[in-house]
This record gives sequence, C-alpha cells and structure tokens, in this order.
Amino acid sequence: MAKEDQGLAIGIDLGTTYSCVAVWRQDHCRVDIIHNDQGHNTTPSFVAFTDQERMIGNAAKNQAATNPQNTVFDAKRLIGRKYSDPVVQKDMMLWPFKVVAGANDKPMITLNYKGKEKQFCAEEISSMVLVKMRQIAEDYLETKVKNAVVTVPAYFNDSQRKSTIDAGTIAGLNIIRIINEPTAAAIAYGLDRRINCAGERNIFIFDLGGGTFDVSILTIKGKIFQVKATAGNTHLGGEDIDNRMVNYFVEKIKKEKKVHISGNPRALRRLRSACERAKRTLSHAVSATIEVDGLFNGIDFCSSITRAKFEEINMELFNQCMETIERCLADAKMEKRSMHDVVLVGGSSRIPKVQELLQDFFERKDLCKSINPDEAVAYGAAVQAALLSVGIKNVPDVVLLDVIPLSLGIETKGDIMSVMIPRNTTIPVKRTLPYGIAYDNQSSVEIVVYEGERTRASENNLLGSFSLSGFPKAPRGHPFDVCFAIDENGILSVSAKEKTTGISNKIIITNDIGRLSTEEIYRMIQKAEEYKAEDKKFLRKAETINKIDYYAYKIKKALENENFSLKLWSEDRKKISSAVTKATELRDGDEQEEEIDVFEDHLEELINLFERFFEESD
Amino acid sequence: SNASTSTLTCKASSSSSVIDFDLYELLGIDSSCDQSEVKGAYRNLQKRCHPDIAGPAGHDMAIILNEAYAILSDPNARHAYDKEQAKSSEFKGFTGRPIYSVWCGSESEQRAIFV
Repeated sequence: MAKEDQGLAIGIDLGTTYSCVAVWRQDHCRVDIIHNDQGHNTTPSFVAFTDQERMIGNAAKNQAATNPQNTVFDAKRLIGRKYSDPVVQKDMMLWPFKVVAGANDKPMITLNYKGKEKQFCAEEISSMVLVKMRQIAEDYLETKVKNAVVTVPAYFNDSQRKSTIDAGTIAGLNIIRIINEPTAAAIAYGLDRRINCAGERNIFIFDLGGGTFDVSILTIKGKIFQVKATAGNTHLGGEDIDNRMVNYFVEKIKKEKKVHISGNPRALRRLRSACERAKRTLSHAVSATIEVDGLFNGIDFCSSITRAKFEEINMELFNQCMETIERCLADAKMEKRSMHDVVLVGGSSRIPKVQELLQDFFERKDLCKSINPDEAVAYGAAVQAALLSVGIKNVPDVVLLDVIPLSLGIETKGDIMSVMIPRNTTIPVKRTLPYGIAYDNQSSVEIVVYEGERTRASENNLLGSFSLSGFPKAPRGHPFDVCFAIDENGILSVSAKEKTTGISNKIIITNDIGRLSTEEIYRMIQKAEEYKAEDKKFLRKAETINKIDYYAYKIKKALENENFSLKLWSEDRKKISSAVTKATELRDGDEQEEEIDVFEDHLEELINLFERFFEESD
Repeated sequence: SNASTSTLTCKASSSSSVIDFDLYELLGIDSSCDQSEVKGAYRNLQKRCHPDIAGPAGHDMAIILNEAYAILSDPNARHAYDKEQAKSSEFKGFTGRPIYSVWCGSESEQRAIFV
C-alpha cells in the first residue's frame, strides 16, 4: 500500500460527530485545512434521507429535528461492531433511527428513502461521509482525488479498522494508510514546534473527541516520531456528555411539567441540540440557558444549567479519562513528570473541568493549546498522505513508529489467551513461538487468533482461525511453531508449521467474521454509484425547475407590455400563454414525481419561444 | 533431514533470526554503550530503513531493527542477551541453541498446551 503514484493524496479525519479534510500543498510548503461549501473547516458526519433526496453534512444535520428517524449519525459507533454488542444495544436506545440485526449479527440501519424502506450498514453511511469529504477536497483543489490517509482512534480494534478501510473502498477511495488519531495530532504538534525543540521531547496527547477518547505517549526527536504507548476508550466523548445532559433534562421535565418526552424523537433531537449548545457555552461561561419553544405538546421549555451541575453529572466520565491516562503512563513505563508537553486534541478537550483535572494530575499549569483541536488530526493525516505519495515535493521527512493498541495471541487449552505480541509493540513486527499439541495422537490443531487483554480467550475479539492438519499422529506436547507478522499497515498474518513434516498453513486476517466480503463491497459500490446518480438527478431537476420558472417569468413580463403583445399573432399568443401555464403547473404541481425529461423538454420549448419572439425586444 | 528442517524454521522466525546477528554490530554500536546511544543508533537506521521511507524493501530491516531495539532498550532483556552472547561465544560452533530465550518469554514459563 505504500508509495502510491497517482497524484494527490488527502488526509481525512473521519470523526464520530464531525469530519475534517486536509491536504499538503507542495508549492506553499504547508498543510491546508479545506473548508466545505458552507465555509466551515469541519463537516458534520451526518447523512439524511427524505422523500426526495439524500443529504450529507451540514444539510443533513440542519434538518435532523424535522426528520429524526431518517437522519443517521454516530456511524463510527457502529462500525466493526456486532448487533449483539452491549455497547450497540445501549446506544440504540438513544438513537432516533432504527437499527436491526442483519446477517452474521451485523447491525443494519433501517430508514425511509423516497417512500421505500432501505437498509444500510455502518460502512455505507461512513462511505457517504467520505464521499462528501472527498468532494469538498476536489472542489477546493479543482482536481480529482483518489488516494487518502484516513484516521481512526488509536484504540480501535482490528475489525473496526478494517471496516473503516471497507468504507473507503465503497466510497471509491484508495486508502493508502490508516493512522491513529493521536499520532496524527502529534505530527501536527511536532512539526509546529520543531524549530524550538533540539533535544528529545516526551509528548502526551490527550484526545477527547465527539465519540472516542485516546491518549498516546510519544517521544519526538528530530524527524522521528516514536509512539511509546497508547490507551483509550472507543466509546467516550462529547456525545456521552450530551447524553447525560439530555437525561438530566428529561428527568427535570418529568418532575416539573409531569410529561415524558423520552418517546418523542423530535423533542429529544431538539433538546439534544440545545444541550450541545449549552455545553459549548459552559466552556467559557459559568451558566447556560436551555430554551426550546414548543418542545412537546405545546410546552415551551426554558431552563438553565450551571457549570458546577454540568461537571457533577459528567464527573464519572471525566474520572474514566484520568484512569486511562494512568494506565497509559504505566504501559510506557514513564513518570508523569517526564512529560515535556501535554497536548489537547478534540473538541471536548475544551471543557474547563477536563483541563483542570489534567493540570492537577500533571502538576503543571501549561497545557499545550497551540494547535487547533478540531483540525490537528486531519493536518497530521495530510502530512502522512504526502509522505506516502510519490513525487510530492517539500514534504517534511518524518518517520512514524507506531504501536499496536491491543495484544494479539492465540487460544490455548482451557480457553486461555496466549499472547504472541503484547500491546504497544512497535510495528512492523514478526514473532515466532513454539507450542505443543494438547493430546496424544492428535493429528490436527485449530489455531484461533484473538485480540484483547482478557485472560479468557473467548472474551477477546475473535479475528479468525485456521487449522493445521495432516501430520502423523504424535504424542502430547509435540511441538509446532506459530508465527505472527504485522506489517506497517497493521495487517496481521498468522502462520503455523509442524517441524518434522514441514506442513504449514497460514491466514492473512483480512476477511474475518462480520466483515464485508468482496462481493458485498462491490455491490455496495454499485449502490453508492446509484445514490450518487440520484443525487445528481435531483440537483439537475431542481436546476431545471428554477430555469423554467425564470423563463416563464420573463415571458409573462414581456406579454404585459401591450405594445409588444399586440404585435403577436393570436395563434402565437395562445401557444405562448399555454406554455407559461404549463410551466407554472410543472413548478407548483404534484408532477414533481415525473421524470426529468418532461421538465427538460418543456424548458427547451420555453427557451425556443423566448428566443423566437422576445429576444430582440429584451 | 529433520535437523535441517528445524534450522529452516528457526531462520524463518525473526526472534530466532535476530539471534543470528550480533545486535550491537547490527546497530553499529559498541556493546558497552549506554541507552541513549542505542536509541540514537536505532533511530538513525529507521530514518533510512522504515518502509515509509525506503518502500517495501525496508520492511524486513524494520522488523529486525524493532526486535533488536526491543531487546537492547530494556535493561533486563539486554542483560539476558549479553549473558547469552557470552555463553554462545564460548560454545562457538555448538548448535544446541534454545528455541527461544528470555527476551521473548521467560524460560521457566509454563506454556499452556494447545487444544
């Protein structure tokens, strides 16, 4: 996957709530964060479907309250997970859109598009966001973009990473590398500060985003960025803070107004938006008001929340963050005092209480806020994308030495996880260890590969399995070798070999359980193309209707001029006015369902009439 | 022929193949050097060999460097390696090497037996 030579490569921070895209500009020697069509540097990771069209980004988020069941967000919280995952079950209770169990326990989002029920998997929703981000980049760069580096939370497991690559494939992107979000942020920080740092610096990255939380410890020396340890929680972020605020107010409304709004998606969506706004306000003010007119049954809801109350209801989440930090330091075998910089990344790192807890923990006042917490990850991804592309000039020559976030191993007798490669090992890596067969006269063994920190193998994340068979029956303890290899993309391959016969077998863990097959991805690419075509058609129709309206108006205005009108033959006048009437019908009527040809044909007729009779008088 | 198969398997595994090199020689440093020199040498080589820089050709070298650094940067593992090296230099030419050593799992560990 390394060193692609197909021109420009972009960096995409695919977030739970917002996404951001950036690119390395070789002529300017800098990274540009690319703004979207609304002028914002981040775009909501929202996709919405209506009777008429599909919307992605700001447009989708803006209409969320009026169309809650068909507005999808948080796809990153579903990606690479199973329907039966307790995390998914819990999230489902809060989502206004419907999620059902599909084949292989895969969660499927069910919604209405153009009056028909449609099902999408999380990869498809994420692919739509990726398409939007690519579009934003293409508009800005005025060129086609094919290659991208996409970031994932450092603590994402193997299936979540591979599902993210699948989302990229469905979006028609060539994902040249998946990199960890805190590592990407470290690049942004390191490049920014490099002039001032001659010696080795230990950097602590605290990345609290919309849906996920990561911490990483890196040492930066010159152009080497070496990750020491990483830890995190793939389900902790601003969304969870919002959830707690929503719950708080739902209870409050229940008590004060004696109404339950928990069953009303529209009311919940509006309350959630108000809470999100209040949360932002509380980062600079000590209290915020929540006002939602006509929230439920005509009740206008107006209340306020103080910063102290906000901190109280979220303290449990903040404490979870602090525990993760301690675990990361322990893994890196480093003292908190040895950290030269504590860097804040992610929108939720703006919360004053979070900063206060960090200052207390590290016993220092100066948290590093010099990089933009919303854009740093995309910035780093853009640098890595340029590095991995051939023929891009002036790229800062950094080398990233990253680690695997979770231990990898195989199942041994008694459901015991035998770790082959411990977490936080630098990649690429390759290790071989000898194992023995469990019973006398066994002539085949099943190698089951897991990822995770639990002692019981089955409680970890199953990555795949294969068997080694055909060797002569041997006594218990007969040895064979198992080899784990992880390349620089984090792709794991496992092989096993029986030594006396040389019989061997291997798998590359790419198509594990729950992951999309090549055919499924192909089908989804086609589906994505169809949706794209429909979006285009919708746009074309809207433009045509606007033009029809424009010509009809011009013709009507011209007819009002009596001097001119009298010059026309009555035959022509009749023809013209009937064309105008039909235009009005097309514009206002229920005929919007009609095929685009009807509109385009009529537009042509109007233009012809206009040119024939009115052009000179214009 | 059994013996030659087993040697081949050893070569295929990086933890064993790393033993075939003198790690200090690999990093171009003296066996008496301190931790910061080990780190410096490792990084200088990664700057040239990492597959992101050198392309796929750097892949194997990066693996060996990572393994060597994992051993030499950990004081306990380095000590064990030094002891092992001293022993094997005494027995130069003797092939009865252990399959694996302290730096990839303790020798006394009760390895669970496979189902």
